[in-house]
Amino acid sequence: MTEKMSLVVFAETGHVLGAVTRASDPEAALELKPEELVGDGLLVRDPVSGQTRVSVGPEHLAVKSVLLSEEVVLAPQQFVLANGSPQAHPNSDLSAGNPNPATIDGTNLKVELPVNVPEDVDTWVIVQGHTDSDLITREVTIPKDQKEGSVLLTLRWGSYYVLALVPGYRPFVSEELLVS
Amino acid sequence: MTTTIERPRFYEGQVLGAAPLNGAVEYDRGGLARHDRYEHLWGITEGLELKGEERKTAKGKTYMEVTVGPGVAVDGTGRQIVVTDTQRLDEIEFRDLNIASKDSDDWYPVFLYGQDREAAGGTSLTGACHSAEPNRFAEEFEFTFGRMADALELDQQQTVGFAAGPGGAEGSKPWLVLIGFVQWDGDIEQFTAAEDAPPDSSVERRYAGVRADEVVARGGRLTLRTAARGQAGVPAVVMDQNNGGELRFGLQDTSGTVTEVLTVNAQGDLTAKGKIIGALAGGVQVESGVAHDGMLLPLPAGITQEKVDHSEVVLHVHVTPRYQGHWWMLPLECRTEGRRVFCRSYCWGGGGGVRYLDGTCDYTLMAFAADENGDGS
Repeated sequence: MTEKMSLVVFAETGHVLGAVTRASDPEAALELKPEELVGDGLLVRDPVSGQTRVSVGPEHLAVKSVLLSEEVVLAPQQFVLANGSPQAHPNSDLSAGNPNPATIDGTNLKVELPVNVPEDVDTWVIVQGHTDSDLITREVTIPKDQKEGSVLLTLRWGSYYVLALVPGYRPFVSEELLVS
Repeated sequence: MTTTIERPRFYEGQVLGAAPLNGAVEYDRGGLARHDRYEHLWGITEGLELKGEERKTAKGKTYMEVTVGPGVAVDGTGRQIVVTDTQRLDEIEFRDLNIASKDSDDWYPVFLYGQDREAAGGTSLTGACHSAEPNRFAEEFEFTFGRMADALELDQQQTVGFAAGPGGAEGSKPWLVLIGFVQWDGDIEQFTAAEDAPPDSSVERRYAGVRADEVVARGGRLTLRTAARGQAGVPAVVMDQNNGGELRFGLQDTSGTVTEVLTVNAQGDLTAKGKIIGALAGGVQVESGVAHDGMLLPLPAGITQEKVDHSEVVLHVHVTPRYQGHWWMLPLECRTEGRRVFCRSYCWGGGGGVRYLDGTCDYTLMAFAADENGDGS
């Protein structure tokens, strides 16, 4: 087993979305670009259906080389990269108590957390439609002492999936959301 | 008309005038120039290092006083240019050339060239034979400056004829030898930096070289060094008759001994202490490890997706799901599309019932050099 692993992380939040090791050259992550490990995008699954739903483009990703951890390499999306090392997300599922914490209605994109936040929190949401042109990334800020934040997002009729990356929580992939 | 090289010949009782004596001198000079011109490549042979010493103007602005150390260069005509002691580069001369741009980040090449000057007359003769003709030439040098474009055109300088001596024809443009670069601050009219080469530039001060189609060792070992024998940690190549004949590459120590990291013997066996990167003709490159669902499997070092896309390399991939430590875990799929991994399983999640997991697999990826049909061998 190699002593290092390469983590693919969402650059803005540090959410770990993928992991890989290279027996021949464990340090090679230092030289790798995200597109070399994810191609056009890293596919993230819906845990309910098990289907790949959202593709995160390499422009939003970074590759980091860290000490190998079996726990992390087996379930990387349970971790966030903080201060150069992977740490388990401190909170429970974003969907605990609310099955739809990230929603769209055709004009707004809303993120709702289980509890109020003590200070402004920047979350990132990727909305995936049926075509590549329907892939949209937005930053949604949850204001201090509130648990909701929203931004204007006009979407045409169709079905979408949403990946929400909220600091402190594991990545959340929505069920199919319909805009009518 | 054919020009013949003439060698002076003297005989007993000959009255030696200036012409035969000058002929003897010119014969040697011409021979040396042709040797330097045709058996070597022009450039610095020793020293001539640019050095900047930090100074401050009266208003406290920092600049560099740039000097050129002593040394020797040979120009493209075979002329030796000898700088016997440290020289300061002349800021006024640079200013008067009017070559500086407004961008203080620009670099300007510093050139050295040689020229002959007739020394003041002198004679030991008196009376009717007295003459005030100069009796020697001073082989002088000058520094000048240019723009970056000038440094790129140095190999287009005018060559001289086979019979010519050093320096070329009288009145011809002097041959410039590039010895380094400076930066200039037009506000204070001072140099601000001196380097062998501008950062990220392929143009650098020019050292002399050797023209040879064959190099033969006398002691059974031929060594190419990138620095003098006493300088440790620099690369060198050795071709050695010992051990049946071998070629070695590595870094040298202070004694000049090369610690080889790559050896090829006369049987063609290759021994490398590091990795061999790149697709080997008829060979295979292997990468292995662990990859998570959704990722692309990394390619072996030196293999690029471009080579795969152009069918220069064929990939063979094997993946197996890795047990994730969950009770009652059942792999659902573990496969690749191209290099992308699709790996998932489901498991009994306690009170939550069955749930899907994005999985992790062990992989082995082999890259074969493609044969004529585009297949892996």
